Amino acid sequence: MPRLLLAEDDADLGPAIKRALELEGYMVDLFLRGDDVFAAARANAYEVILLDIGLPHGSGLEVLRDLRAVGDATPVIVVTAFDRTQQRVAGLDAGADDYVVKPVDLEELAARIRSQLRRRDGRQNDSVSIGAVTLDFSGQVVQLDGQDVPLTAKEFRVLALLMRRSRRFVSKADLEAELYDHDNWAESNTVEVAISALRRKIGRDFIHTARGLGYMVGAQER
Amino acid sequence: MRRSTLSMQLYRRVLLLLALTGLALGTTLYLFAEREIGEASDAQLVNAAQLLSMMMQDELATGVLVQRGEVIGADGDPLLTREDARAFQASYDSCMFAVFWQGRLVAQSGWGAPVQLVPRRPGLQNFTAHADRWRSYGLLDGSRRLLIVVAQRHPARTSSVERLLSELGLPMLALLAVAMLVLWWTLRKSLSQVERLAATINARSLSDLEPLVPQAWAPDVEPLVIALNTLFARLEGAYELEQAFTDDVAHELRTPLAAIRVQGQVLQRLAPQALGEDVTRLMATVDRANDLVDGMLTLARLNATSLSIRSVDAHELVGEVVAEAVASLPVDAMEFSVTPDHIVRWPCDAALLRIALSAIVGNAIRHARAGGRLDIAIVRATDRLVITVGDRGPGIPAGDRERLLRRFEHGADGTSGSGLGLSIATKAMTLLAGSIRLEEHPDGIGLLVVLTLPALAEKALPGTVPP
Repeated sequence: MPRLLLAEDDADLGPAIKRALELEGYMVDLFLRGDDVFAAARANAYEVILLDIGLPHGSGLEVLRDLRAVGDATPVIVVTAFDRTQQRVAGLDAGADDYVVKPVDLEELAARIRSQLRRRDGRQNDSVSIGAVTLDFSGQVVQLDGQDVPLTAKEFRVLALLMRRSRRFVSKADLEAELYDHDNWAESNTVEVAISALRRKIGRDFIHTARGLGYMVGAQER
Repeated sequence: MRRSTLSMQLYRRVLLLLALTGLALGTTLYLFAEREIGEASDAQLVNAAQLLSMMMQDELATGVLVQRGEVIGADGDPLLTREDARAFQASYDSCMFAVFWQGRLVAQSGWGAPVQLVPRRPGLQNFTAHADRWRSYGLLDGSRRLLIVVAQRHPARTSSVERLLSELGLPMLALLAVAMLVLWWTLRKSLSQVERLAATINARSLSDLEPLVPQAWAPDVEPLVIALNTLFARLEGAYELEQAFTDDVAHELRTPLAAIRVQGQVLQRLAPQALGEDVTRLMATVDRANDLVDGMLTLARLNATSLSIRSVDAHELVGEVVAEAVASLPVDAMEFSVTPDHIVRWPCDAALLRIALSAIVGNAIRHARAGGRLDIAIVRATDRLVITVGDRGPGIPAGDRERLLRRFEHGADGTSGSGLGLSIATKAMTLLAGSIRLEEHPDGIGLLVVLTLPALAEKALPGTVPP
C-alpha cells in the first residue's frame, strides 16, 4: 500500500483529502506544521509528498528546499491556492515535481499521484495514459482498459501524435505531415480513415474534433 | 462661479498692467508735451513782442512819440507801418497785438480780442474775451513808457496738443493690439508645456507608472512633475497591496471551498444511492462558488495587468480556448467550428485576448449548450481584427444586452454562473482598447458576440481609459 505524506494546515481540507485518498487505497500521514513535515519526511520513506505552501512554522517552499538540500528526492506535488505563474515557477524551482491549484479535484489529484508513482518506477518516458487508453511509445503498444488494441502503423502514429499533444488541437495538416514523413505518401483522406478506425477501435468518445482546428484527445489523465 | 483658465487669468492681469502702464506713460507724456508746447507758445509770444519792438525802434529813435506828445491813431500811424503789420502777420498769424504809450493805445493789430480787454501789464498773463481764453505777453521798453502786448487764443495753443494726440493715438492703439496678440501667443506657448505634460500622461497605459524625468520638462512644471512622480509611486504601492490582498483572498476563499469539494467527492463515493442527486447538486453549487472566486480574481487582476503587445496568432489562441472548453465537456455535447483554418496574426496582448475569449466561450457553453453549436470566425481588416462567437442558444433580448455586460448581472434563463463572464470580457477588451457587442445571430437563433480589436503598437498602448 503506497504511503503518502500530506501537509495541509486547514482543519477541514486536510482531513477531507486524507479520507478521500484513503478511499483510493493509500496510507496517508497528515501534518499541519512545516517543521513536522520535514522531520517526518526524513524519518519515513514516503512514495509521494503532497505539500501545501502556506504552512505555519516553515512554509511549504522552505520545507521543499530543505528536503532537496539534504538530498531527499521523494516526489513532491505542491498543492496551493496560489495560481499565479510566478508562484507556480517558484514552486517548481524549489524542486517540486508537480503543481496542483485549489480547489483540487480528487480525480485529478489521484491521477497526479499515480503519475508520480509511475515515474518513480521508471515508466514515465516511454508511455502516456489518457483516460482508459495507455500508449507505449517504445513497444508500439496501445492498451484500452489494460487490453491490447491492434492498430496499424498509421493509426498508431496518428494516435501517438495526438496523445503527445493532448489537450491541444492538432491540425489535419500536421497529422498528414506526420504520416508523410514515414511513408512518403499520404492520400487526401488518409487522416480521416485513420481517425475513424481509431474511433471504432478505442471508442468514439476518445477523439474530439472541431472544424477549422483539427483533432484532439483531452480527457484528464487518469 | 465660472472657471477661467490659468492663461486667461494671467492674460487679463498682464493686460491690465499693460493698460495702466500705458495710461500712466501717456499722461506723463501728455503733461510733458503740454508744458513744452506752452513754453514754446510763450516763447513765441515773447519773440512776437520783440519783433514788434524792433519794428518800432526807428520811429522811437526819431522821437516821434515824444516830440509830438500826443496820441497817434491807428490809420496813417507812423509808429508801425502797414508793411510792418503785414510782415508781423506773416510770421505770427495767430497773434494779435496792441501797443500802449504811457497807458494810451497807440497801435493795434486790428483783429483778435477787443483791445480794452487786453491786460496792460508786462509779462505773461491770462485773460478771457468773448468766452475764449487768451494768453498775453507785455513787453515794457527801456523808458518804461511804451508797452507792447501780444496775445494768442488758448485754443490755438491746445490745438497743437490735440494734433499730437491724434497723430500718436492710432499708432499707439495699433501697438497695443499687437502687444495683446504677442502676449497671448507667448502665454499659450509657455503654457503648452502643461498641455504636453497632460498629453504624455494621457498616452500612458493603465499600468505604466514609470516616473517622469524632471529634466525633460521646463523648470516651471518641475514641481508638478515631481508631485506626479510621488503619486505614481503611491499608486504603484497601492497596486502591490491590491495584488497581495487578491492573493490572500484567493487563498482564504479557495481553501474552505476545496475542503467542501473534497468532502463532497468523498460523500459521492460513500453515499447511498438516494443521496446521489443531492450530492451532485452540492458539488455543482461548490463549483459555482469556485467559478465566482475565479471570476473575481480574474477581474481584480485585470486592473493590475501590464500589457505586452506583440504579434499573436489569433487562430492558435482560439484553438487553445476551444480545446479547454472541449476538454471540460462530454464528447459531442457541442460542435465547434473555427474559420479560417490557418494562422491569423495580429498585434495585441495574448493573455488579455485569451481571458476575453475564454469568458465568451465559457458563457456560451453555460447558456447555449442546448443549441449544440458554437461558430467562431476571425476576420482581419486593415485597421482592426474582428472575432465573432455565435451560438445557437436562447440568445439575449435586445433590452438586456447592455445590462448583461455589467458585473453580477444574470440573464433571464435563471441558469447558474458567476455573473462575471461577460463583464470580464468587457474589461479585458477595454484594456485592449477594443470593444464587445452582443447581437442577434444573423440566422435569427442564438447570440452573436462581436469582439473588435484595434491594431496596437507593440509594447505601448495609447489612450488607455482607467476603470
